[in-house]
Amino acid sequence: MIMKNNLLSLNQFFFIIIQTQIGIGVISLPYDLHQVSKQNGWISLIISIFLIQIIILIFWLMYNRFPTLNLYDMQMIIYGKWIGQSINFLYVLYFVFVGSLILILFSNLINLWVLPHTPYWVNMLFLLLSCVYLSSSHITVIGRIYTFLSTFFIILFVLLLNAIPELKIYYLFPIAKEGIMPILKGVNQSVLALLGFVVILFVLPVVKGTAKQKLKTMSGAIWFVGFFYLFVVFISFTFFSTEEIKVVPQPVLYLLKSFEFAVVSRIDLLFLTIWIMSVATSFSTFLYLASLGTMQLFKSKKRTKFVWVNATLIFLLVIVIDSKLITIQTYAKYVSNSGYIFSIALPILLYLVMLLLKKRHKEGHSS
Amino acid sequence: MVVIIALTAIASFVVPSNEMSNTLRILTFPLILLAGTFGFVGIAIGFLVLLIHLSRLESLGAPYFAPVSPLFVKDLKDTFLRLPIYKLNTRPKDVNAQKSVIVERSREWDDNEK
Repeated sequence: MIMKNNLLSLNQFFFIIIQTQIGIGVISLPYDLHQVSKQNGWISLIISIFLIQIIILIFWLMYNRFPTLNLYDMQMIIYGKWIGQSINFLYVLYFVFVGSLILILFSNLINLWVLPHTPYWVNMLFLLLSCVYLSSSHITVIGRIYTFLSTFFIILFVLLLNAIPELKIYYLFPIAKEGIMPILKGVNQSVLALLGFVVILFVLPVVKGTAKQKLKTMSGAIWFVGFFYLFVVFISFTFFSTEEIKVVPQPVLYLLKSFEFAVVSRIDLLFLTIWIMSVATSFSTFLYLASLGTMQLFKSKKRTKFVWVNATLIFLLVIVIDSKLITIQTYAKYVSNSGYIFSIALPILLYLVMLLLKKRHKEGHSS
Repeated sequence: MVVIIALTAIASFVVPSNEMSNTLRILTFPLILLAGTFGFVGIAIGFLVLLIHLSRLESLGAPYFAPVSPLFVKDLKDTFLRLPIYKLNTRPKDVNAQKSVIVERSREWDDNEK
């Protein structure tokens, strides 16, 4: 059915999940977390990783019922043609909206930190075009590129290690002073930063390996991302005091700005350069998923064409949003909150329907 | 500026073959343009596109970036650093060889050293 060459290896699967999850969120996550749950943000981050681990288990159970289908196909089979198609359409819309949100936040940040006078659409077009090139390639090629780019995480890690002598653990205390509610609110923020794990449902059928190996890889990837975020949050919470972090919306960058090496004096720019790569990867994953969906909708085999269509849609969407129709904050809130529906609620609903109808993958049934 | 040009000139001697240095020369111009107009962002995007292109390349079914970017940890022993020759006894994985262990060494002096 699927040729051996066209399958992803487990390594590539691991890196695809990582690169999709780590993206635009890294820089502002400590700030967002701190706004709602003060110095206890790291606790809520750990809770949210556990939550996501459970959701991933559900994903895996779904995969076990239909080992050859991705989410789009599953919905077509379970809900029937019309409802399935319309939910798939909603998914495509969601991916397009997320893509445009990533682009907006990206170009805003570039405008703030690197190129203050460049018009926003130039920054955006840069990222958009290179990502179109990236996501129009085959999924194995995407996996390869993500594997390569993941080596940069080591650099990010090492750059952040510089802050260790300056850390003051007592900024983390008192633990849970405001009670349990702010921590639970923080879970919301950190789940939003960890969104993107929905890619698992689309990539699982094209990974080679046994079901157990896949589960291990998935959980490993989630925990890797979780620990990376935890590291970033921990460093920026202990570097900045509780009062200080309120005035720095991009704590990681401000943190790095205060250091200076012998040759490289602006480490924050170096960090941003590497960060551009991870934004590009997470953006192109969403572009890939959207194009996969449109391919399904139009029953076509040519994915490259739909990558372009989706990219144009995203571009137009960004221009419409930037003409002050709604503010970026409200847009970001809507889009990231709808992530709950699309990457948690709808898959779980699908699984429940599967259980009710007792549908399973039949032997000899191919699609 | 002078330092950069000097560095570039010295670095050009590192490239082993003439064809490759021509490729690099042509690749340099768009990168210079990008770096001049957009600075760090331009360089990042330029190298990203270059990387994507290289990863898309395949020669006879074997990926161009073989031991690194479809990651084969076992094949890395002949990539950045070279392990001693008696350790290099497996064939690269990306070519899907039928036998994974080398049957006969391709270097003739190998027998003398054992």
